[in-house]
Amino acid sequence: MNKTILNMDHIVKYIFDAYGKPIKGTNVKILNDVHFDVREQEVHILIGENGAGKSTLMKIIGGIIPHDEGTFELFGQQVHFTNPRQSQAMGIGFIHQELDLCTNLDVAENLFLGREIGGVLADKKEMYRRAHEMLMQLGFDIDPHTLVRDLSTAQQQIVEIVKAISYDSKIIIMDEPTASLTQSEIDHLFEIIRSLKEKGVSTIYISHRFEELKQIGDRMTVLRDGCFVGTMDMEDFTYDKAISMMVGRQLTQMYTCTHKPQSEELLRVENLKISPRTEPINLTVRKGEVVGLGGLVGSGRTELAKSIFGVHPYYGGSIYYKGQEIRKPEPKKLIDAGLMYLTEDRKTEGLVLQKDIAQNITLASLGKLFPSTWIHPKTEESKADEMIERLNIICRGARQKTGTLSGGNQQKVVLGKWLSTGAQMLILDEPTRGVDVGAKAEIYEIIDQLAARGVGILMISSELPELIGMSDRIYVMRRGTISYEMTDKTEFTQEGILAHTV
Amino acid sequence: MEKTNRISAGERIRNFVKENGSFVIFMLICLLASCTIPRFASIKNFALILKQAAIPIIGCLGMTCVLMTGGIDLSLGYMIGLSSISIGLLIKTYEVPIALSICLTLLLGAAVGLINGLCVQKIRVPAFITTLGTGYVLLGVAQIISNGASINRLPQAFLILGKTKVLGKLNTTVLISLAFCAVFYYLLHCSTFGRRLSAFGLSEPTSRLSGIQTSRINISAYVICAVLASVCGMLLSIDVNCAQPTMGGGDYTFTIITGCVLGGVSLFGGVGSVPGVIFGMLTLKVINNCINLMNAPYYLGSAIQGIVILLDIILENIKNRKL
Repeated sequence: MNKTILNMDHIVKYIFDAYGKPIKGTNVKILNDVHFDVREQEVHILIGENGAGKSTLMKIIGGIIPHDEGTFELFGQQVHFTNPRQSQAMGIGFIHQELDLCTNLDVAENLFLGREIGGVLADKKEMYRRAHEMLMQLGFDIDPHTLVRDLSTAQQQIVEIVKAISYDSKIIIMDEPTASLTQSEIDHLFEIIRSLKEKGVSTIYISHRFEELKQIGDRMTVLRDGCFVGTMDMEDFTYDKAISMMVGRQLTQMYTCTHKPQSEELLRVENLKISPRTEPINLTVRKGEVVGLGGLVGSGRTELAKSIFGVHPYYGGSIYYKGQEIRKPEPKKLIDAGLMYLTEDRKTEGLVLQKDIAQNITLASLGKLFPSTWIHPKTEESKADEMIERLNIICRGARQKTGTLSGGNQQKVVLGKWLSTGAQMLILDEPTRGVDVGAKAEIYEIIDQLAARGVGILMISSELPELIGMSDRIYVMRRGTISYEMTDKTEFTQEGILAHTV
Repeated sequence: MEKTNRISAGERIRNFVKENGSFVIFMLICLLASCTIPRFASIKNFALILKQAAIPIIGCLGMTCVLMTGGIDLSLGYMIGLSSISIGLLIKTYEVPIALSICLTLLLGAAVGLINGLCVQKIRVPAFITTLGTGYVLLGVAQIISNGASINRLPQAFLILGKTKVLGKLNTTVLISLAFCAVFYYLLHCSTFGRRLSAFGLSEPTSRLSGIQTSRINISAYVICAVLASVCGMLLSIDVNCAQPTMGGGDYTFTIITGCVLGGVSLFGGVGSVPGVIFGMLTLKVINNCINLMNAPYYLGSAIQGIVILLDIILENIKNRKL
């Protein structure tokens, strides 16, 4: 057995503000008596629902916030980090979930940010040469002259990884690295992790995607509500066991299916081209039907949804809703008619984070709720309370700011906005992205209930089990157009869908 | 038990200060001035401050709408000049009926606001550049149509609109200003328009995807601002009994922005309050009043305005970082 290089015991962290300072007058523990250890040359997986304390624990290891109680040993040395540079110097590399690269600088400049070769008068040539070398070593053919903003999210992630490795890190923390990667890129990432392992580097790997854990992990630690649940070897890993450790209960049924598609057609898209050079798209959604839309990130799924919703241009083709052609789609017109789009990016496009739950829920139905233009706070609150109850939004009340909610609850607020507006046709773009397992099951149930009441649903998703579990029909997109349609439920397999995405 | 009560009282005070910052600052400055400056605390002096603040408060209301979209209207002061000279020309030189002249001047304001709004919304020129440009155009137009001369001694029938004395030491200008405040209190705090405006300022993509007609909201903010600027221009002409093309100007715009900022309007958009800007402008006028009473140099006022804006931006940045 390899020796333990990182060992944390009885770690306690009290609730803190944006500066990592404890908030006075409260003694809420967000980490309570947590144990965590990493051995040399291992890939250690960390899972837990959103809000379980994974990120907080990682921030302590990364030196972004200090721990309040407990012991933290790194390479046999007691440490108490107060800033990220200390942990970096000790050989810890942190790849954040939200990428923090300077998008206006190029790849090489980002890689050498803060440690430019040659100081103020940087030796550009040498920097580009070294950057190229670093990228090639890991098998990535990215031109170091490219501006980071011109890279895809996946490529940006790769630059982050290269940067972390280049600091001679002994332990690399990856916070949901595969969230925006395609399957082939994930495979490549796993190869890198394995080769790093051979070089003696350990990886702490946070993920929500179960199907990939077994491929890559050696051991796994589960956190729940800030507490340590257990660590196990990946050989003992089973899906059900992991889920039950995470949620503390056996999840017998993740997907519910009580709805039956009706015959009436709700949405029909004919020969729509999302860019001048792609093949035209045809699709239909019937009443009470959940239609899955699969495909890789970048295959044009979001563009298709946004074209229908009138916020993305399209090049020829027609859209029919309830049998009538929509000539110039625009959000207001469609929302009034009952067609709504739930964005994949809830923080910038779905919510006004500085406003409270009630204000967000009524945002799209202001005109309908208050025809006299006078907003009655009581009506607004009761509308919000109704949704909070119906969707089981966990909050302090209708006046809590949405920016302070967890991912799953934020998503429920966005859903609540559309439900209270009277959705008859919902386009859901990655409805469970960044949502924990418990809330996921709840969202699936809501989707099923909606369909049972006759709402047509077009669900875009990158998670294959979700597509297979929820959909009545599945369209698969590839390179800007629909490459395949699956109508038979027995035909739904992960391999089958994947085969048509690449 | 007693202890928890005391904490909640302290918390309540802190919340009150947080939410009514401009009122608290106003009271503190008044208190300080009353103690140190002998002639400050008198009804006559306060009536004077109210009268001085009445017109700029109307401008602040318009500016607040634009600031809430996340933009800025630097042409406001020049619009005041243009509307002043237009009303003068219409009433005195061309002898157009007063009611019609007022309507035409308001329409002129609406037209200018529309141009500003269209440039910002449709052509996507940053508000700062658009309104700086249109501002100078307005100044030029005002100078050309008046040949650079002012128009004195406006008709009595026009003057009484703003100069009639009410409630002893106040005049109708103060009442007009109050009426505008009431309307805008409703618009910004109680109506769906205010909610949409604020949502637009905080997150444009979210508002658009929620079916809010964002371009309409954005353009209407500029229209409102320019119309209120022309109201200011007319009231100012009444106040000094003279229509001048150079009335208002860049300094005036700056004073109004300072008033808004002191009143808690965010320069980053989305946040603004009518009571806030009222007390913001009053605070500014109290400071000017104190400078006068103390016989301090006049331009100290400008320096203080500059410091206020800088401090606000610093504090707001700190606050945003904390959230």
